[in-house]
Amino acid sequence: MSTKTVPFLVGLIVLAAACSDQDASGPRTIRAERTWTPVGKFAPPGLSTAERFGYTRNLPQATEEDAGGLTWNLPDGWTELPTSSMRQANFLVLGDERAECYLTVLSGEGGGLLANVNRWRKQMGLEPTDEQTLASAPRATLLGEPALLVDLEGTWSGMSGDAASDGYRLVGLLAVGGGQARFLKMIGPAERIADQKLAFLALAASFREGAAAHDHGTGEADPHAGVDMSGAGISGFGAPSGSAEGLSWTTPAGWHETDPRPMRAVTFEIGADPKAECYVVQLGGTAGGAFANINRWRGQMGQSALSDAEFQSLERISMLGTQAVVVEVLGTYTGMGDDLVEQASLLGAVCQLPQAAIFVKLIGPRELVDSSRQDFITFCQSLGQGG
Amino acid sequence: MRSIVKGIGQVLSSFGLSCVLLILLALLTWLGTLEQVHSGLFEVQKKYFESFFLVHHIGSVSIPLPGANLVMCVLGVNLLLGGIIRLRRSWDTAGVLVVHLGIVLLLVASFIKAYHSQEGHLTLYEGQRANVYESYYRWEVAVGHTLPGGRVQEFLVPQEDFAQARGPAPAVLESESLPFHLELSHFMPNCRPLPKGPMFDVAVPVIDGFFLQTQALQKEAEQNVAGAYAAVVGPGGTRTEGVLWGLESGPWTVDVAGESWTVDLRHERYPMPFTVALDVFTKEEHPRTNMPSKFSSDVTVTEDDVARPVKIEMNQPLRDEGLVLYQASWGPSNAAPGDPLFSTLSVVRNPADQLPLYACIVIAVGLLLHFSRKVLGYMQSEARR
Repeated sequence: MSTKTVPFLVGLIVLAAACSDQDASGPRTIRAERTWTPVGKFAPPGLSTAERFGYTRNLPQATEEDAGGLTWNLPDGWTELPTSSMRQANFLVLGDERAECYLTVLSGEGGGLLANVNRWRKQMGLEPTDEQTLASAPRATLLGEPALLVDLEGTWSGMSGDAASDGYRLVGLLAVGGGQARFLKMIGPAERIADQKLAFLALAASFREGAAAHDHGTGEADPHAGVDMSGAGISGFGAPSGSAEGLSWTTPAGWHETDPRPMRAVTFEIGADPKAECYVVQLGGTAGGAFANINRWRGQMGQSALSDAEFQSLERISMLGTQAVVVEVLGTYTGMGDDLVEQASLLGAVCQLPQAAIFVKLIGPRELVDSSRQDFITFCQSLGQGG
Repeated sequence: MRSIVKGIGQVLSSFGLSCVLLILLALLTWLGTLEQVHSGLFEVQKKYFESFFLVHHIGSVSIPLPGANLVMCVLGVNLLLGGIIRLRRSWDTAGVLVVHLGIVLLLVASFIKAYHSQEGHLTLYEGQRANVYESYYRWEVAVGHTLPGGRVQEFLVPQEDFAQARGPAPAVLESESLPFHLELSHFMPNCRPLPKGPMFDVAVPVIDGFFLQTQALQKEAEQNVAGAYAAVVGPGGTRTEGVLWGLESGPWTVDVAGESWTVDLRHERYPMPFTVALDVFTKEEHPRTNMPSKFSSDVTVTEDDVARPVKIEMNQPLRDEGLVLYQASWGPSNAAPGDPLFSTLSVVRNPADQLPLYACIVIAVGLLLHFSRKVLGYMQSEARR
């Protein structure tokens, strides 16, 4: 190649670069523009973020009668978030993603006042309290009834106990009576919660039953339309044996239904071993998905997370008209309450329905779980909807 | 310099190069087929057949290879130089010359298909109609607003203009016709929106209580659902932020200067010059099985207020206005007996749609010419004996 050729080629390259129509880092011009008349059905504009992402109807809809038709006055600057099976009302506090507030209504006593206060205290890294202290604690109005007011400051460890956020504050109201347990909880950075405590109390006092829309003070027409108020944890506890939360099942021989437990559609004791139990949880949406939840279960058993390929190879069974992923994990079980079961086995099934995820979990000593495996599969396959 | 050009010309026109290129094409086809065990069709097509260079991995060994795109370009040059320019032009070689022309035509057809075609699908339930079809893979952001008479004005941002904005640094998009500019950031090829609680932190913005969580890319590219964060910056710097997701139920709506605008992340949409309405979808099954033996769509095609019925079935596509609509699939696959079914028509706009057919005819004529002449020559030589 001659000495003249090289500059010629370099010049060509520089010219080509100079002719490049767009600066890679600067603003780009939108060139394509068209005006046309769409034919057919297209998604409507004007939906909220939650509606656009399909979070406004997490569970099968209940009528207003079923739900009790709760309404409330939304504090200024707060945002309504999608509801879930355990959150009949759900809010983002003053746009601060670290601060949230939600209402949970359960049938029965929901474990009682003391147990729930101590659960909250544990979440905040505080020692348990006693009945005597509770008796002298202040009260405020929640759903038209007096409720126990707690105000805790500490290190927030999260629902699962695996987070640690210093300088957090929890303000909550608890009321048990009339066949229901009602909890309103606000959690977030201490300064934000202090700032919003009065708004929280005003919100608590504003909850009422019967009206069709909430007062946002914005003049919007029924902005809460479509928000699920079924409180799916409620109706199931009063239902006949064999059905709850819109689910029905056939109970295997030797399994005994226990008293209702929070978050669970049903819990069974298996045999006489108190460390063995099987329960069903129904959550709105994907609840994190099968992959994440199965790996969470593996973590509870002291096992490492599965890879994608390992997850794909897990057993599938028919359940609720679709396929459920079944996992079996051996190890030492560490439950939500730090309870340990050595030589344990966990059998789990996760099933994704269009609007909700169903989790069935059998946990207990290895021998007992092994002998109950077929019962577990049969139970999962017996689950039906509309019970 | 002249000797270099001559040397390059000789190499490019050589028969040996033809053999190497054809072997490379066969090798790429074989490797690409094997690769589909691990990657989806779309990824394999991009890596092996639409690329100029690629690296194939066998265990820990990396093998650099030319992509099929490069090989076919060189093959085209090789055929032109070797088969047409260098070939001795006489009646003896006329057939071979025609065959070379036919192969060049095939390559031209593949070039046009690769760079100037649009491919997508039209999915309809019975009773539904549409005048656009959607890409399987490519995403676009459409900024639009409604005009009187039900018309829509849209400003379209192709995927290339925002797909690089994977982090907080936004791709800034503007138009003289828009009263604002659009910023797109945190583009994720596969993700899902989740509500944010206080129990965990996320590294991306949280808007209206939601954030986008990135997901592993799916093997089949059409299963990925893209997402991005958007900001509309209006007059005076007023800024409104939103989250876009490919499977959202409706576009993000934002008011700017008293006018309502929609911003939608979606698969690229291509307008059709006619409207297709699905009247009846028919699925026949093999006896005593759920295996479909035949499925077809009875559609009504309406253009300029003139409607005509058309039956689209396997190997009987609808060809109209440069578009070809094939019966591709149906669903939902888990539908119970009696459930409504949808029909998916694969839609292709390919200016070179018929070119491969013409190329094959040219090649057949060339071969006929060549072998006829050979047979005649043989018969004449036999007769002379």
